[in-house]
This record gives sequence, structure tokens and C-alpha cells, in this order.
Amino acid sequence: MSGFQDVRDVMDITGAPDVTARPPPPKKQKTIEKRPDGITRELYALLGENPPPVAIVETKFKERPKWMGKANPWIWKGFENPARSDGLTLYHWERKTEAMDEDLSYRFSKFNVQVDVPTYSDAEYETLKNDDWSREETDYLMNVCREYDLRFPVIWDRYEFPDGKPRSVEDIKARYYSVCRSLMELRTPQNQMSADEIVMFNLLNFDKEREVARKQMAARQFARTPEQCREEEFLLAELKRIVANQDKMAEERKDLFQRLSYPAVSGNGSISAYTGSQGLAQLRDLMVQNSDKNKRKRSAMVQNSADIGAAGAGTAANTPGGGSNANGGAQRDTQAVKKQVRRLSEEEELVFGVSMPEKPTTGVKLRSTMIAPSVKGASAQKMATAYTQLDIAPRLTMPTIKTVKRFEELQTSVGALLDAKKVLEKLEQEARVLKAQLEAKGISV
Amino acid sequence: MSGGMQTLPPTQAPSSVEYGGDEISALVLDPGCAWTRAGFAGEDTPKCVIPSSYGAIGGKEDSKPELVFGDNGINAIRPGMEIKNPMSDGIVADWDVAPQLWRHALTSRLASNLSEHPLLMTEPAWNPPKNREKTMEIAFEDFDVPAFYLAKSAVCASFASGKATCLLIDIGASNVSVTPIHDGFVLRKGVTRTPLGGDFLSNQIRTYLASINVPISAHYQILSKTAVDVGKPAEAVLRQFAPGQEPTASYKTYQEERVLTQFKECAAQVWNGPGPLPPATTPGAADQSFNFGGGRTFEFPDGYNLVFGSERFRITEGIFTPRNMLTHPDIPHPDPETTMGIGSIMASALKDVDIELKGQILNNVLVTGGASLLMGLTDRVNSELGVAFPGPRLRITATGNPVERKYAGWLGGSILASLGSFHQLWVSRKEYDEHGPGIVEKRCK
Repeated sequence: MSGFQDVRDVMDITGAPDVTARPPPPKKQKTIEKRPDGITRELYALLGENPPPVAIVETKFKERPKWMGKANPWIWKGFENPARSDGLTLYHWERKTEAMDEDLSYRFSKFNVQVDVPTYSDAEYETLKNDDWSREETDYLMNVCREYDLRFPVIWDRYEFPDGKPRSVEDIKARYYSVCRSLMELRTPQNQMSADEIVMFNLLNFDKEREVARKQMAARQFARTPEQCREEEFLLAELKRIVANQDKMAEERKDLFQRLSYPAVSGNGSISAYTGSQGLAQLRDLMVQNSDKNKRKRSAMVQNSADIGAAGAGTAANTPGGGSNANGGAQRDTQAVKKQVRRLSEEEELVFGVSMPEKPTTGVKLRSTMIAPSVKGASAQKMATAYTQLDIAPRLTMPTIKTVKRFEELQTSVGALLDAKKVLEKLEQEARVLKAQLEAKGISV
Repeated sequence: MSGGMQTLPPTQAPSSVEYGGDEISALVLDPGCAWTRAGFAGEDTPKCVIPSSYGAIGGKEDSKPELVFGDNGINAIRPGMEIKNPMSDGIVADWDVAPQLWRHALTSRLASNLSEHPLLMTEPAWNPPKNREKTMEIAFEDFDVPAFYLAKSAVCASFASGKATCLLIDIGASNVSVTPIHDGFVLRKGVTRTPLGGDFLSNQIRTYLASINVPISAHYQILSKTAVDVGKPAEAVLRQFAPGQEPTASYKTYQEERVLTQFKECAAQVWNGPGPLPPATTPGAADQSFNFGGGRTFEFPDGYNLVFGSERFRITEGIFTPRNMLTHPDIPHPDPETTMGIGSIMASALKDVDIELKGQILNNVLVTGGASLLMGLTDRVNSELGVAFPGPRLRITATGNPVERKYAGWLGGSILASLGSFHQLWVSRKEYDEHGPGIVEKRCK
């Protein structure tokens, strides 16, 4: 492969090479000692006479590319640009190919795109008349629009109509678009326009007043001082905080209302509908549904009242299968027990401290640990404070069934009390804020 | 080509989809006040960069002076050679010499026959129409180019960074200019400039050195020197000139200017803000008004060297707060009261820009020009911009590559003239013959 010949090929030089040209320097004949493959010359020189101690893995390099035939020649060729009207011939290097002789159009001429700015006849101008714009100035405007490809900021910058009024960008835009719109309507009446044309026609509707107002707003925005920027940022953050607070408050209030609500009573608000056993079962179902709805934030109050209800009425709130069935089941169980053992009277049960828990737990436990902790965390702390205020020990000294039951009731009512207190405080605060707002507005309350 | 972009390895051809280039061996000429840059379109650096100053030898009475161009020409010690500059405020002032200078830049190293190469030249945005026509006339009549285009150097510099919409801050030799650009068009109403460029900075350094009675020596005056301690008198052997063989005063000034350029590169630094540089506490005593991070030594060509502390910042402060510029009765300087600093011209440049573009433009602020390489300048421009526009988002871009910073205008021209889609914009000889030089206003917008 000869680099020299390649250069000749690229330049398209034929004929025998010039004999007078300097002959290439004779290649140095190197006498290379035979060395095993896979060892670099330098390494081999270091080894001297000794054979290599280890076998060296031969690394193969990528093979040299094989050039197919001659290098392609390039020629200095003149070309004409169809985008020009003067037939200027410029020259560039082109690769010599078969298709060269065919007249190929210049590949960059496709970028010669012109903006379509409408023209009008004298008759058409009659409809375009405007008191503010003379015919001459309109002609000038259309020419400038064509010249600067509708770049309106540039058009405004270069707009110099002799003895003309000073024009704003909006003036120029409004006139241009009104001319375009009127011409379009004149040439194709609106009812004959195609869908695309209608879209176009509507796009040409330029609302100057709106645009001016928009620009003014943009200018005000642009001219903000750093203090104003900071204040704006601060106010936005504040707004976000207030909105978040309000959402939280609404949520809590909803929660409260749900807690206070009781199933809707049909009719005149009497409880007659729930007097029968069927009515009672219905009421219980409704209440279970209600508490399920609010499961996520199920309050201790609802749970405890259900527990109390279950203890009092002998129904299990957490048995889904309807009150009477569960009731029946419990009775059957006790009957089965009665068959095997002597039944203790109520007095005896009290004396011996015997109870029949519905769900016996495994293992031996102190009764005091069985007291259901109605609240956890911060509220537990509050509850403890409440106990101290009420002069009640937070732990029972003698946890009998009776006392435990009463203690649980107490716990529930203290919990409810604390909840109510919290809500009251919140509402009072809200009332104060609203009052202050009203006062600020000058309305006396 | 901007620093941030991944550059393609030179062995890999760009894919035909993204490569819009079509090189027609066009020449690009970017004449500036200090340097004239020329090269082939499509290359990433100008091949020929020569000083815009030239030497005029002889020509006392009727005879025309012999003109010398280029580094080797004007830096040689020649008796009676006056150094002059055909440019002023970025535009051509001497129309007899400028074409010769340009011809030298184009033909000394690049092309022997200008009629074979289309020529793209750059011009500042404030170039008057007379000058533009004259430039076109010279290109076609004098240089006999086949096609010509006159591009705004600010637009070219923005293209060099790959941006079509930006605020270009060009800190050149004669002035600092701020140009808002939208879609490749200069917004003429926003073009502002202030004479606080590299030349102003040189005079500030001269003023400072004069105030501490340090003479500036130039390299040509020194035959040999010995190292001396800081602040000790120089021990150098000076070159002696026979009577009548001394270089002229303008030559001396030009050579001193080169030393001052070194001073700007090695010692000068810009206070990074925010706000103007705090005034010196007590004149004469060590300046403790701000932390300037230690002094820097600068050695003059004769070996005299000094450590510069806070003065390094004082000499550059005039660019931002002209009120605080250093003044000396013998050294020319702009009026400290009426001249606008960079911060205020940036603010006034955007005053007449459509509000919709302001945000986009401020998000693309470009800093170019040789004097922008001054240490810490970009940071200060950033902080001044923040003071002028506190509200909107600002993003300032200044390439880290000094070549791209110095030759941004040329580079953009090189990109433009090598694009296939640009070739329809050339003004051809035929069009020039038909319409005359007036066509420049119509075509080169």
C-alpha cells in the first residue's frame, strides 16, 4: 500500500510519476535476528542469549484494513445555487462519482424558505383602508415584514417610515394581522373556508389591548426589585403553609363530627324505630358500619363504648355475624359448661372471683395487666396528668373484676373528656381568629 | 466550536445530517482597532493575525511614504518610521491605508489571487452606511473578489458561541460595546458603547505609573540587563542610537504599549464586586480597604520590578465606575462624569428591547474581546448585571479558550461563510455591477 500513490489518486493525477522527482529514500536494510513470535523486540533484546523462562501468549492486533482499489479522486467543481437569481458560480471540492455529470441541484437550496406575506391589489386595498395607516405606510410595512421574515421585534427595531408616526410592536402586529385577516376574508368568504382555513383565520385575530396589557404585566414582573422578589417568595411559602393548616383543620373537624354523630333517625327523631329487638340489631349494624368507615382513625371512645355495650348487653361488637346469633352462641357455650360442672351462683362467683371470659387467654396473668390501655403516646401522658388532677391513682391497688371494669370505664370517659377539651380549644382559637378578621374589616361583633 | 461543546476528533467526519458545511475556500477578514484577523472560512483560528497599526517610512514632502505592515514590519527598529493606525472607534478612519492593510492581511499568507476567493468581512454595528458602501467598493473594485458579504461582528461573535439570541458584550481595544441580538439580527436601538476598552486601560496604567514616577521602558531600548531587587534602580545597558537614527516617538509609544499589554496580562485584575471598589483608606499608606489577596510582581524590560498590591484593582476600576478613573493632565482620558461604565451601558442597551425578548437575552449574555481576558472581569460583569437587572434569571457565558475569546468575531464569520445555506446570501460581482455599492444596505442587514 502506497501513501504516495493514494495522494496521486485523490488529486486525480495520471501518468507515470515524474522520474526527476526525488526518489524515495532507500529502505534501510535491517538485519533482524530471528526471534520467537510473541515477544517484543525490546524485551527480546533484554533477554540476551537465554531462552525465555515462560511461554508468552501472543497478542494479536486488529488486522490492517484492506483497501479496495484506488483512492477516490476529488475534483474542484463549480456549482450554481438555484436559490440565487444571478447565477453566481462558486467552487468546492467534490468527490468524483458516476452521477457527477447529471445535473444535481444544490443540496442546500432546500433551506431557502420564504415567509408568505400577502400582497394586495388597489381594489383590494379599498377594504383594508384605515385612518391611522396610509397606503404607503401599509406597503412599507408589508415589505419590511417580508424582508425580516415576520420577526416582529426586529421589524419594530428597524421600522423607519419617513414622516410616519412612532409605532409600537403591537401597532405593527395589529395592522399586519388585520390586513392578513381582511384579505383572507375577502378572497374566501368565511362560510366557504375549509377547516384549516378557519383555524388560520381565527389565529390571525390579534387582540391588541390584551397584548398591551400582557406586556405591561411582563414589564412589571421584569422590574421587580430583589426585596420584592424575596417578599413574593415569602408570601408564597406562607400561603402554602396556611392552606396546609386549613386542610388539616378541616380533616380534624370532620373527624370530630363523625365521632359525635349517631345514625340518622328516620321520622320525627324518636327512638321508637329501635325499640324492638330487630330495631336494636339494625342500630348496632349501623354503628358498626360507622365505626368501620372511620377505621383508620378509630377513636378509643367508639371502641370502648362498643366494648361496654358488648359487656352490658352481652353482644360481641367484633363478631360480624349479627347480634342475635352471637348471643345465641354464647348461651350455648355456657349451657355446655353447665352440663359438666356445678353452676356457681352469682354471689359465689363474686366471692370466689370466678369469671367466664369469652376469649380466654393462655398463660397466667395479673388482672391489672389486662386493663386495656385505651390511649398511647402523648395522650397517655395527658391522661396521667388528668388522673393526678382528679386525685386518682393511675394504677389500681386491688384490681378485682368490678374495679377493673369501672377503671376501664373511667379511662374511656377521661379520654373522651380530653378529646372534647382539645376540640374546644381548637374551636375557640378559630372563633378568635375569625373575630379578629371581622374586627380588622371594621365589622363589630 | 464553543468551549462547552464536544469537539469531534479530526479523523472522524461529521455525519451528513448535522453537518451543514460546504466550503468554497472563502476568505474571512475581521478588521479591528488593534488587530486585523484573516483566514480561510471553515477553520477554527485565523491563519493571519497582524497588528492594525502600520509603519510609514519617509514621505516628508511630495513623495508618498513607504508603508510596512505586520509584526515583523512594524516592530523592526527603523529610523524615522511613524507608527499609525487607520482605525478609530472600531471603524475605518483612513481609507487610503486600510485597504492596503487588508490586502496585506489577505495576501501575505493566505491567497495570492483574491479574485478566486469570496470574501466575508465583519464590521461593527455602528458602522455608518457610507463606510459600508466604501468597504464593498474596495472589495469589488480593488480586490476584485467574485462575491462579498459584510457581516456584523457582534452577530458573528454570537454565532461563534452557537447562540442566535444574546446580549453580546465585546470588550475590545478602542471601546466596550453592548449589542442585543435577536435571531441573528442586531437590535439597532440597543447598540451602546463606551470608550473604556484596552486602550483606556493602557492609559490608566500609564497614569498610575506616572503618579509613582516609574518610567516605562520598551524592549527595543534594552541591550542587556541584570536582575535587581524589588524597587531598586534598574541596571541595564541601553541601546544607543546615532543622531538622526533614533526611532520616532510614535514607535516608542507603540513599543511601550506592548509592555503595557504584558502588564495587563500579568498584573492587572478586576475587583469582583459586589459594588464599586472601596476607596483607599489613606493615600500613601498601605491600602487596607479590601482584601486584594497579596501583591504581584511585574518586571519592566529594563529589569526594574515592583510589587503591585491594591493598585492592580484601582487601574481597572475605571471600566466599571468611570467616576473613579485615574487622571493625569498629560494623558488623555474620557470625561469621568459623563462616560458610562459597563454596568450602565448594559442597562441602557436593554432599555429599547421588547419586554418579551429581555428575559431570553439576559439568559444568554456573552462576553468576548481581548480585553475581557482581564483577570476577574467576567465575575464583575456578572455582578454588575445582577445590580442592573435584579429580577430576571441571568446566565453569562465566556469561553475559557483565549483564542475563541479574542477572535470570536472572526470565528463566527468563518462558521457563517462555510455554511452551505449561507451561499445564497453572497453579493456577487454581477449584482454589484447591476446595483452599485448601495446594494450593501439591502443585502447585508
